[in-house]
Amino acid sequence: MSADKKWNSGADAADDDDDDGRDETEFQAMKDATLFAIEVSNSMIASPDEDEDMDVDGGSRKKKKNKKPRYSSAEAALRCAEAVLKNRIISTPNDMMGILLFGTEQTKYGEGSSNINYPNCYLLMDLDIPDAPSIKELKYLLDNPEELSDILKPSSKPATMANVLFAANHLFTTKAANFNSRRLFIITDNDNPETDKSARASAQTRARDLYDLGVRIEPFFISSPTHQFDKTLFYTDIMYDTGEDTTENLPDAEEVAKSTDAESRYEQMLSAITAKQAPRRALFTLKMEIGKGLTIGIKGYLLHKRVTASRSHYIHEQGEKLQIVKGSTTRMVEETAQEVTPDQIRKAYKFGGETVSFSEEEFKQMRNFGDPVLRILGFKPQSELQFWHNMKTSTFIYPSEEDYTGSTRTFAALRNKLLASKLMGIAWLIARRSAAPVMAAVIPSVEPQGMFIIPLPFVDDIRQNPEVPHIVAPNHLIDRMQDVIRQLHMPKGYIPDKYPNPALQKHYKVLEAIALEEELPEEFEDKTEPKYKNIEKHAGQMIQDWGDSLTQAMSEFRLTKPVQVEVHGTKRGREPAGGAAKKAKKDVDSGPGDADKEIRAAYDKNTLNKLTVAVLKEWLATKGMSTSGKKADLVERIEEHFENK
Amino acid sequence: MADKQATVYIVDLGSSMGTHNADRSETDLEYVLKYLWDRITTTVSNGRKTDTIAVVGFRTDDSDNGLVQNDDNYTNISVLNPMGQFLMPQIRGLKKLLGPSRTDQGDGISALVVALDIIEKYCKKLKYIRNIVLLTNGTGTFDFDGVSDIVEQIKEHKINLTVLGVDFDDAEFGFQETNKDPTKAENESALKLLCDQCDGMYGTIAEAIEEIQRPRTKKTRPVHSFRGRLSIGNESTNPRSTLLIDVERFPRTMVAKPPTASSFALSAEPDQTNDSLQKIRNTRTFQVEDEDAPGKAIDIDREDMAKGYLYGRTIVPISTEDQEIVKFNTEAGLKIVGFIPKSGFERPICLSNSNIIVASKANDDAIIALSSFIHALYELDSLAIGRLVTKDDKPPVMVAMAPIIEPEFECLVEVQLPFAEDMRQYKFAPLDTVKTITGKVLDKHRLIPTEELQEAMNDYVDSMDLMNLEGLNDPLLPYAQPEDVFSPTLHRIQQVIRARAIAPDDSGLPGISPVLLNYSNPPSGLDPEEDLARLRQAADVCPVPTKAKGKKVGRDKPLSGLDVGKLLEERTKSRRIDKSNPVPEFRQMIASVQQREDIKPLVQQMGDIIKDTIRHSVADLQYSRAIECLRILREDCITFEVFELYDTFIRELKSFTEADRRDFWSRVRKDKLGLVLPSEDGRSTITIEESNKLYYGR
Repeated sequence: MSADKKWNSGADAADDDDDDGRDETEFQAMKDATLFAIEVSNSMIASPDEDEDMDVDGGSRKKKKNKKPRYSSAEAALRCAEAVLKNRIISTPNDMMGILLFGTEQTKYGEGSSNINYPNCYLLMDLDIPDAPSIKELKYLLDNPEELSDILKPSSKPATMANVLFAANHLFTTKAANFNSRRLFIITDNDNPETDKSARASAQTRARDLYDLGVRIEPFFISSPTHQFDKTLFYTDIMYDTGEDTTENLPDAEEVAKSTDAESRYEQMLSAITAKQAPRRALFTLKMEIGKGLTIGIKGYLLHKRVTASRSHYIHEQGEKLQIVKGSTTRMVEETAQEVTPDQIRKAYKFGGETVSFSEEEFKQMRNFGDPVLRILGFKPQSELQFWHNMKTSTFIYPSEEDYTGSTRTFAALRNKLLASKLMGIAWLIARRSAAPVMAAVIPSVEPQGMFIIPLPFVDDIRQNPEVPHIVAPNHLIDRMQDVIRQLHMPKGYIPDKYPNPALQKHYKVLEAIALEEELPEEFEDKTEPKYKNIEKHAGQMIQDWGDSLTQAMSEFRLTKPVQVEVHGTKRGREPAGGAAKKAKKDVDSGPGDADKEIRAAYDKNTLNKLTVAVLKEWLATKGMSTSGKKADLVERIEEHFENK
Repeated sequence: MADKQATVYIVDLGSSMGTHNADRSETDLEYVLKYLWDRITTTVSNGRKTDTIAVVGFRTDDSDNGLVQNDDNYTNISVLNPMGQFLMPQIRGLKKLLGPSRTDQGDGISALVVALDIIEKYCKKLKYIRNIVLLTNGTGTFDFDGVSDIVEQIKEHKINLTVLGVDFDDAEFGFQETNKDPTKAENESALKLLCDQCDGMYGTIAEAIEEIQRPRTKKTRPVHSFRGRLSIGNESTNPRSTLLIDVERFPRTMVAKPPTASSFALSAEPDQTNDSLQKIRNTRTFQVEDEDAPGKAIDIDREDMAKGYLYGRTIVPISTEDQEIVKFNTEAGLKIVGFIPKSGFERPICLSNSNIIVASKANDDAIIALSSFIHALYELDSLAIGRLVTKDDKPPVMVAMAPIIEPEFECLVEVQLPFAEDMRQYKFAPLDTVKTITGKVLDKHRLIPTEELQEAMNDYVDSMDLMNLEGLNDPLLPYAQPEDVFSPTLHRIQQVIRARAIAPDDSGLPGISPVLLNYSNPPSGLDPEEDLARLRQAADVCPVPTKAKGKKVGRDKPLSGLDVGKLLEERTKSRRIDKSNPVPEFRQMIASVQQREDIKPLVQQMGDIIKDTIRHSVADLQYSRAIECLRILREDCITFEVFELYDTFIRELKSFTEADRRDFWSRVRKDKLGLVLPSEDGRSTITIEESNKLYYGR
């Protein structure tokens, strides 16, 4: 149901800018391929209990024991990979993943291809968009320790790093050709894998190949209590600065697991890997004009973006195989039914019953308000930013030395000042070529260190207040409400991680269960529901007191205002009626053919207006027509469609 | 939605309107028409059938109105456009009629009576907003005999009368004409009196024209997006200790979008003069891949399709009955989850427009209850966190709510918050310290501001304080307050459409109205020059030359600084690109060449590899690989200033694909990997047409 796509009407404004001017250089597929390369060695598969024995001060930890399962480093890494896999299937369903074990006794590399090239490399999961069978297989392995240890058996001689890197090269070249983000996650505890000079040199060459291919190596190093991982022994020779960070200043996420105890080591690893699961993609590269003649380089990133459930597809069963149906739209001249080629298309505005047209050049020109820039106009106290001054997601900005050296220090100095004086910048922003200009507040961010751009509304975007009688509550009632609020205070503030999106979670849990042929979970935990028990326990009495106070306030109020027409009660009788209406609608929704008839009938009876926007949009979408605009626009579009039939 | 409206414009078309006055380059009529066209096109652009316009001319050569037959007081008055919705044909028709006549005969007050007659006949007793706008230079006849009847009539029908005159005196606006003609002075004061008597507007046209420069904001009637209950506690388990308030939700901010353009097809025969754009119809076809079918795809009927979702690569069919399982059932409502201190709230996590929550209009209990909630939040300096479902079975969203208390209005403002899945965990290096490869943490470094830079920045920021400046559009508002800033794109596009509609033959676009650029540069009222100069010096920001960027200078070494080039020497000396590792080896070899002529064979080899890949590709399986090689080849040919070699190759590749690999060429076109354009290398002489010709083959 493509209505699912728009499950959150408020937030989709965030995508608007994308329509009016994508950078033309972004022709590469915006896709990511991540290959996990996990080393298998005696120390990597050592059960965590063993190193606990080596640990001297392990006493206090015993209490937590058995609470969570404890894994060897290699298994922990695999479980991390599984977690990432399941996460990314939700957040970025088009991205590829693969798992390559190295140092294994067994050798396996693709079906049918010669294994000789990459001895002691075991391709556990081929680099591809994950599918149900491969997830099932991984799950099965993790649930069956014997079979897992069979695969995680170290070879007597470790795999050569050159081979591992070339295997990765081969996978990326063949499976993820032309991806703009390709990353190799190396998870290991061995900081000096190649001591032989020539083996080392060929590893260095192969690493250089990956760099030239645009593959980014992201290592995750595991230190043990007895051994501190030293990346300068080998890894700094194969890692490159890919321009995302300045050479001297890398975010220190590489050494992921150094905790002495296995449980927290797994958790450290998981958080380090999940933190990197999505490649950092810049939304834009921009000039920031702090003052006349003082321009620095910045990049913008989206740190908050509504994730929506994948849209539905039409599918077709062809023999045994299910296939996704591809819809394609042909544009034809209405009168002659001739196909229209792109260069014949002109854009025009409707005006006064006719069209007002412009050349392509004029179209660009009318939207052009100058070059992309974030231009600071001046500064105001942060308190001037009202709570309601919000239009869409903010953008995080971070300095870039790519175009201007000295950007970082200048940016840092500005951020320091804004933080210290609680100020914000007011700026004119054109984020991309021919993007619509907006006014924005630029506010400093403590963590991550940088600044945020918050787009401000224009006067045109501000809606009138609705008319509501103005009656202020008496003080005693406000006091009772304060009691309630104090009891339900969450001093740590809003922590998004505590609130997974229940609709999204359910959607994917169901899909996962069907795809993996598992039982459908009976109940879904919805963490967004208020903690009713706590509310009752802490504030139940206060709420009752407030209720009594309200009754009192109301009788006082009615005494002073006897003429007031009283409207009692809350509308409690609505649910059953709503339920019935729901049923009825669903039956109509059952398939494309029916929708057609329904819309047609509504058109004939001139009742298109009475259908919901969701229904109209869905129908338009199946016809490949635009679903943008207000309801009136949608109706008009549908009417036009039938009129021309 | 909006009320019905009927407007009559009365335009003075006397021959004296064709004269130039007060050193204006335009005639009085042209001057007045600026205003008239703006008003008319604004009405046209709202596209409402119930916003109607009539235009009456007086001091016209002819007499054409409903009253002249019986009464010769109404000569030289013409109805130029009867009451009705104004569309393009009306605009064109009216344009032809709006020229100065050869006469100065014709009474303005009689024209007003004609206008009243039109309104009365058109609107009858129905609910309309009735307007009459009189535009004149005030030099003709205005017969004020019996004007009191007219005043009565205007008042009775609640007609809004506006009189705007060329060079009329206007004390409020601060204008007074010197050497005013006595007749005009008399007319002016009589017209002013008339307006005063019927609560009309009276002014000089200059003010009105100044006024129309200011973009008008469209008022949208508030429409609720949620009606339901705000609750604390669980009603079904603890009905006595559950707080319930009936509330409604309205948008507070919502992007006002510019009109959208639609696609039309250029007519094949360009000789059609009027409207050569033809409507386009979209037809949708559905196909699945089928290796055996001609064209490698077969058409699918709608009946043979089912619905499903993707779980990774796996297709999960969900039958219509199963839809219910996927759906997350919810009940509409706004449930309070808790309260948080306002001070620690991270403002940037808000990710939607803002909405207002007020109590149900007709429910005093709810109004007082919500008022206590608003005031308590305000006094405790807290925000409420809630779970909002706007309609049954809509997915929930988490929202933060803050109180707003104004003298006559109070409400909650609500903004949506991210869920766990919506947070992207990107890592960024700290800005206040630098960590080296060896793990040392530095606080003095070229990436960290010096004390001098910090001080200069502090002074500069202080000198750019906007708090004492007034709004550029409305001086009563603070500088850059959202209420004072117009949406540039919205008003620009509207301006351009209207201009094109009344003058379709004009070439080019009118300039951007300066009002829209008010906030595109720092205010002139500040003087930061001295501080800025010091800051510039301390910051010492230098642009990186374009050449250096392409070649990634300094990034060719691994983090340790190891000289990999040496290790690669053996390979690069061979000058043979390994087919299994083409991209890296090509890049390494082209970077290592000493003489330009050595590049050519490399490009040649790369070209062969690309063609080979295409040739051996089963269907399009290897196309991405070939495209990647092609992209790298193109990039490096540009970087190493040998784009001619690429152009030669891409032409060759085009004919190579002609035979049976045309689908590959469409990939080339899609990825814009054709001829190198002058924007990419200044030496290129390829025009857009040439480039398109290669892409499209025509």
